[in-house]
Amino acid sequence: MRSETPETTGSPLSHLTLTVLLASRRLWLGLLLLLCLVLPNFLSSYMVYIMCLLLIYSMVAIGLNILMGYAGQISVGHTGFFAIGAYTSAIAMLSLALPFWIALPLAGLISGGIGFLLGVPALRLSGFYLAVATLGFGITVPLVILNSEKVSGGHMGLNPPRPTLFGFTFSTDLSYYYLTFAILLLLLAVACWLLRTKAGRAWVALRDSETAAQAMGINLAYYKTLAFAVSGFYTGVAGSLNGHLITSIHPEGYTFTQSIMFLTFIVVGGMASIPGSIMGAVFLTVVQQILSFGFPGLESRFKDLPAIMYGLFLIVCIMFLPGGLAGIVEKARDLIWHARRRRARAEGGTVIETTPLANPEV
Amino acid sequence: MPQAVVSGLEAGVLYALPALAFILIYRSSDVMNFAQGEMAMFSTFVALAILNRGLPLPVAFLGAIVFGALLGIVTERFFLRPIEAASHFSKVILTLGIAIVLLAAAGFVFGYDTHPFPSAVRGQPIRFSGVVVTPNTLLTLGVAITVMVAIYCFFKYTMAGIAMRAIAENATAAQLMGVNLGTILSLTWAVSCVIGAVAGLLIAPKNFVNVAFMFDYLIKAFAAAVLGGFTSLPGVVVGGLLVGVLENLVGLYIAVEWKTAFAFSLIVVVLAVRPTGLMGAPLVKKV
Repeated sequence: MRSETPETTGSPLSHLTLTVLLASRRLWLGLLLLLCLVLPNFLSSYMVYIMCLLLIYSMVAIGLNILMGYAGQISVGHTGFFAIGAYTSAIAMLSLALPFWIALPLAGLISGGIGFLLGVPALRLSGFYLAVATLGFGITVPLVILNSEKVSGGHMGLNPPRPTLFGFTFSTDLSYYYLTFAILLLLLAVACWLLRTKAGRAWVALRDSETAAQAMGINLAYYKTLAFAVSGFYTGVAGSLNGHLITSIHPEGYTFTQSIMFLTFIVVGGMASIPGSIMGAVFLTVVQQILSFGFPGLESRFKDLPAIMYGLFLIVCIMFLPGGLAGIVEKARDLIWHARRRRARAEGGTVIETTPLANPEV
Repeated sequence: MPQAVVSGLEAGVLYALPALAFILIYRSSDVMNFAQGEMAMFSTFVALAILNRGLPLPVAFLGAIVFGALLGIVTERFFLRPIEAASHFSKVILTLGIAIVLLAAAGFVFGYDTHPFPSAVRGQPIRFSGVVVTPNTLLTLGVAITVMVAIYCFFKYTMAGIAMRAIAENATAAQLMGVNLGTILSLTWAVSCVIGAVAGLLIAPKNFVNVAFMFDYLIKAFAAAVLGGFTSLPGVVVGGLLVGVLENLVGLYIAVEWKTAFAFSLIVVVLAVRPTGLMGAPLVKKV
C-alpha cells in the first residue's frame, strides 16, 4: 500500500489539511473498514448472508489473482480448490470431530497441498496447456467427491455445521459475517505482505519473462508451485467458510461456471491488483443480485443468466478494459491529479513535483 | 474386448475431428479456441432447427456447415483480430467468454431440452465375428476419414492450404511472400469451425442433442490434441484414436464412471512426462 501526500504550498492552511486528508489512503481505508463493521447491523439477515458471500468471494479473488495476475499462471478450475476446502473442513468436523479452528486451516493446507501438486505439471506447461489442465482439475474434483460416497456422502452431500470458537457458536449470519471479515482481513494482510517479499517479486518477474527471471537466479519450479499452493490455500479457506455458511454442500455445487465466475472477478476487477480483486468480486456479486431481484421473471425464464453475464463481462473487459475496475480507478486518480496540478499552476502556486506512482503491482 | 476397441475407434475419430479443429487454429494463430465445442453445438442446433422446419437432412447439414463457417469468420474478424497484440492469456480468456455466451445463448434460443437427432442411415447392425457394427458407426468412420483426407489434400495441394502452413511456420515471412494474413486467418477459423460442425453432426445421432452435448467430446479432444502433440496433424488423429480406445478399455476393465477422469489424468500424465506429445515437435522458446 502506498500513501502519497501531495504537498502544496501557497494554499490556505485549511485547504492544505483537507487536501492531505482526502488524498490520504488511510482515511479512505479507515472509513471503508468502519462501513464494513457497522453496515451489516442495519441489514436484513439475507443481506448479511450476501455480504458474507462477498467476503468469501473476495478471498477467492485474491487467491486467484496471486496466481493469475501476479504469477501469470492461468487457472480455470478454481472451483476444485473451493470444493476441496469445503469438503476437507466438513469431513474434519463431522467425521473426525475436530474443532473449527483446526478444520479451517486444515482445509487451507490440504487445498494448498493439492495446489502444490497441481503446480508440478504447470512447471512444464504454459498458456492454454495449463488452462486445459486446470479445467480438467476443476471438473475432476467434484467427480472424485461424487464417487467417494463413503467419505463425502456422494449425491447426498454433507452438512457442515456453523463453527464454534471458545464456546461461542456463530449461528447467526451477523456473527458469522464478523468471523469471515476477520479472516479476510488476515488473509488480505498476508497477501499484501507476501507480494512485497521476495516471492511476490519473483512471481512478477517470472510472469513478465520466465527466461529473464531464470537468468536472475529465480527458481522457477519453486515459485510457480508456491503460487499454486498459496492460491489453493486462499481458495480452500474460502471454500471452507462457504461450506459452513451455507451448511449444505453437494458435488453438483462446484461447477465450471463457478470457476468462470472466479475468473471473471479478477478480469473485471483488474489483474495484479488486490483492491481490484475485491472490487471485482463485490461488483459482480452485487450485479448478479440486482439482476435476480430486480427482474424476478428473467432468471426463471433464462437460467443461464449469471453465466451469460460472466461471459459478456469477460469479453468486454478483455477487449475494451484490459485494466478492469482497478484500471478505471487508476485512470480517474491520474486525471484528478493532473487537473489539480493544472489548477495549482494556473493559480500561480508552486507545485512540488510528486508523480502519481505508476505502480500497478500493489 | 474387440467390441470395446471398435467402439473406441468410433469414439476416437469423433475426438480426433474437434482436436484437428483446435490445432488448425492453434498452429496458424497461436490461439486456443475454447469456444470450439460451443460453436459446434450451436451449428448442430441450427441443423436441428432446419430439420424442424420440415426440410430434408442434407439441407440441414449444409445449413449447419455454412453457419459454422460464418461463426468462425465473425469470431476471428470481430473478436480476435482487434486484440491481436494482447497476450495469450487474454485470448484464452476471450475465447472462454465467447464459449460461455454461446452456451447461454443456445439455451435461450433453443431451450434446455434434450432432442433426438435423426441418423442419416438406418438399417440392421452388421455382425462380424462377434463384433456388432451399426451402419451409423460405418458412416461416422467414413465421413471422419473423408474429412481427414480432405484436410490433408487441402494442406498439400491448394494455395490456401499452403498459405496456412506458411503462416504457421512464419507469419512475417509469409506476409512478405504476398500472403494476406487476415484473409487466411479468417479462412482458417472458418475451416476449423466447419470441422467442428461436422463433428457435432456426427455425434448428434449417437447422443441426444442438448446445449452441453459437446462438452464431454471436447475434453477428450483436448486430451487427444495433447497426446498427439499440438503441432502435428497426424499425431492428433492417432491421439484421438488412442484416447477413444483406451477410455473404452478403462470402462471395460475398471469402471465406467472413471472414463472422464481418465481423460484428465491422461492429459496431466502426458504433459508431465512428454509435454510435446507423441508426435509433436519439441518446444523451442523464443526469447
